[in-house]
Amino acid sequence: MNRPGRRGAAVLVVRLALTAVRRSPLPAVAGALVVALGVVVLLAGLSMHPTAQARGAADKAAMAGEFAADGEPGLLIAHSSGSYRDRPITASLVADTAGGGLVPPGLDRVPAPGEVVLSPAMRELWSDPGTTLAQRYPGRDVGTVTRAGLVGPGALVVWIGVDRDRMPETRVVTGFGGAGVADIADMPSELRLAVPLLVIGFLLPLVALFLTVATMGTAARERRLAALRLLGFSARHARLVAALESALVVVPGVVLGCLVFRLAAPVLAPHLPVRGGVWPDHVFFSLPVAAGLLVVLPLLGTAATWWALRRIDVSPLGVVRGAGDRELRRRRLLPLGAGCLALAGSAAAGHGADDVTLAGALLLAAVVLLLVGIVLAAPLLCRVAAQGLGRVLPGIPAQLAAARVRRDATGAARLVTGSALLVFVSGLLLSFFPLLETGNAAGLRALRDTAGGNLLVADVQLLDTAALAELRADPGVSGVARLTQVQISDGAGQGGPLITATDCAELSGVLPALGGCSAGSLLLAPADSDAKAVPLRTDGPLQAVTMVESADGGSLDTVGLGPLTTSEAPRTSEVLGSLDELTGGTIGLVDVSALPAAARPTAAGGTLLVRPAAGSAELERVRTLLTRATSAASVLTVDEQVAEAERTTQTYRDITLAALGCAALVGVLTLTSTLLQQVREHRRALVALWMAGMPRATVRAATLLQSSLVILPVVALSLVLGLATATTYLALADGGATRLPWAAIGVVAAGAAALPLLATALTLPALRTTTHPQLLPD
Amino acid sequence: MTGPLLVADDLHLAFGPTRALAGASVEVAPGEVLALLGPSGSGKSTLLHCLAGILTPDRGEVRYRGTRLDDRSDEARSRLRRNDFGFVFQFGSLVPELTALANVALPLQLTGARRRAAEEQARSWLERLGVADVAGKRPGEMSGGQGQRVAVARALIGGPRVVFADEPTGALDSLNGELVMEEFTAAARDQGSSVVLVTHETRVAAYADRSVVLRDGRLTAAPAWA
Repeated sequence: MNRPGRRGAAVLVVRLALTAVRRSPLPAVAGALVVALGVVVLLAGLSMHPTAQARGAADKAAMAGEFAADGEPGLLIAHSSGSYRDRPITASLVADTAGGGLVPPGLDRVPAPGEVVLSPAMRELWSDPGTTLAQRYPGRDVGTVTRAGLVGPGALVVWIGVDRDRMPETRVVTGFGGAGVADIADMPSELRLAVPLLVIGFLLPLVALFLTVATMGTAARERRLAALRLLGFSARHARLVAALESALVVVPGVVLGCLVFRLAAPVLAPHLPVRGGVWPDHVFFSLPVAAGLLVVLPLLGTAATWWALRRIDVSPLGVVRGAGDRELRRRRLLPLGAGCLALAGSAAAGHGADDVTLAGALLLAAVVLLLVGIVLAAPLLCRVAAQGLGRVLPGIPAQLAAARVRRDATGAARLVTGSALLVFVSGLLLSFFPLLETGNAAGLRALRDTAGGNLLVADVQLLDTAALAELRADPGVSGVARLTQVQISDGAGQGGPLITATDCAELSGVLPALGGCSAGSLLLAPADSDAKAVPLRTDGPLQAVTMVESADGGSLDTVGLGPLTTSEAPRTSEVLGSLDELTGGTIGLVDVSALPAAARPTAAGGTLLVRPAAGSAELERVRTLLTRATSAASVLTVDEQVAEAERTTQTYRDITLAALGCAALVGVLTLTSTLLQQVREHRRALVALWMAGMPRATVRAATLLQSSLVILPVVALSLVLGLATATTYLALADGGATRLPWAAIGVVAAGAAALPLLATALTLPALRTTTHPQLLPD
Repeated sequence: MTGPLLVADDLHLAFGPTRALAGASVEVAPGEVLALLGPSGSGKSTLLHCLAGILTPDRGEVRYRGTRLDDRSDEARSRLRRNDFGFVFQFGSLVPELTALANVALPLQLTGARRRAAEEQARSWLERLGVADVAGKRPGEMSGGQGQRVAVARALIGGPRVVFADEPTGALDSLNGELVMEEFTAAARDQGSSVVLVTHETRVAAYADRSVVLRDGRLTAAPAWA
């Protein structure tokens, strides 16, 4: 007889693999669908960076990038930030200095004074009288901002033509392509450190999913392989068939996932909850990425199958597995032990040390070792847990569950490892949150606490006194206060420190927490840091430095401010302290009404605080009035300012939570697939139990307990290790001053522990059909 | 070739504390139908698996056509199963996903035959064994007797020098069992294949040219009818 040629053997192997998949289409289709979902999630993750880059490039292209030397023609442009019902608006005042021909990106011409050019999304709102945006940005609509000037299809952009005389002082723009949005290099260092962890946290469940799908249908596959071995298939040929079967499930899954993403992404992109939405073609994956997935994922699947089959002996008589792994089990604990040692070493090296390089390196090593260690040690932990709990818990279901876990500890570990890793990585990722709280938005958050989030703040560019009067009289406004800065004399007739002046009664109107404030009183903010050491003399009358206009120019003069009174009330100090964020290093606060006329602030400059009545519609109307009154570059509520200041950290939070959400979703899918697979493989045993008189409820309880038994120890261990790692990290990052977000970590741990139970519950209905004797194969 | 085709010499094999073979020796002549008899747990199947190169004895030698079999590589023993041996087991052994026709054609395809040619030959074997009507059915869709006839066809289609049969009628009623045995041994004799038959039923062993009895892992005296 002839030996089969290589080509013939390959054809036969492929045919057998195809036949196997065709004959068991349900697991194959389910596997392909699960892989497709995983690929969609993976592509969403992979496309985040290119999408952010594309948006950054679009942002950059629309920003002023070149500025004129003296006398060179160009455009005068003043960008301002606005908002409409939490949607940011970019309004740009523009004036052409000498008809230089320069046009902002997305516009076909520079709007003349009294004209506006709107983005499509902006026009939709602007043309609705109820929004009052036409009043906020008045003008004749003469054109549409096209894609070149928009970061996304939903961006709210308006270009407003103005006389150059009405433009705030600004440089002449001669070209576009300025600084783009923040990229990873601008992220806080804490976030940059978190990125690898985020990637790990995102990828781990996906890898687990692919491996699970690749090794699905093990029992049927083993019967098939044993039969083939009997006919003369070598062990290598048998592994090849199994690997090909995996590829036959994974490849269509990858193709389907790419296809679904390719079709769904353009439809969903404009509706993504990011600033201005996303252009469909900004969400993409390159051909090399798709080709890479098409190669890497099937390879991963086939490698997993190959590896799984190498660990067992597929003989013509069946499969022999797990022989003599006592030594292997001991070795499995080594990475976990090494990780614990590295963690302890990191804590010791970082304790009181100025240079934490060594401690940081040890911590990184500890994270890697612990991740690997949890995976490797999980079967042993499951077995130990099953032995212990099986003795403690009464009842047949518990005994049955414990026996099953003891018999197949590796399978049980597969069930819980994903959740355990999720807990570990989540603990680490969430520990970064409190570090971010200490960022640059702290002052604004303090202001929000005392002033409320809906307080409107506008930097006055050109004060329209008539519009201001209208604003003050508006029934939708419950308070208006103006903060201006006055320079205090240093005692020698020269300018000294700046002091913020406001009408105290008006300030009480917008800051109810301040309490009553009689006209003529003078408040002094507390000097609570070296930078704000008050050089004010409180032992005599203060003098303000003012500019005295005259025909031949101006000169400095000093004006007496009258006697000071100091408020020492703690609440007042706290409230005024929170205003620091607005006044930029305020050293004191005086009542503007008490100032002599010569020392009073001029029409331009300063900050206007407006408290609108409740309701978002009212807020937008008041914002419009305020914009008109001030020509402000920025008219935002305190809430919006906080959001803007926290944009990077909020993005991190959103990405983290989205990644954890995706990981949880994929985790449930993986667990459900694994459990269904186990139920299918154990169907004979389950039927035997049922036929022997065991109620289905008991069989179900045993199945549920089988999952529960192993969750507790492994998830608990992961939680402890994750928290220990997070604590060590926080100690290195800020000396341990920051506390862990226990509540969030607790929720994640509980969620991760619930995942296997949820997955088990999802599979319980399948028990009835799966274990029906008539459905058993011959 | 003269002399025995297959020789087992002083085979010892233990599974943990259980001793399955304890000095078993046996010879199979070309074209001979040999029955291995014995009670459950006597080591019959283990001896058959050692003779077929599926299991490797702890001690002793298995020689096939004068050369040792037990020390060959897995690849070499797989090649031998593919080219020289055929198998009929009590359960399964058919690839569950393939039709009867595809199962029977498989050994020929494994040795390089084209699919169409292999299936033509497989069809004639199914006809010869009286199961042509199940050619398009899969193992789960056939009766036990039909499945065993298909297994016999698959074991014989490649013209093996030796066919190993482990309780081939164990799952069949007596009538079906006898029909299968008649067709099996007749076809094997027709093409000159040796048969090593494991059974605990004397009526099945009656189809053999010679019978040996195993007890506690070693051969005892031949039964009275041999």
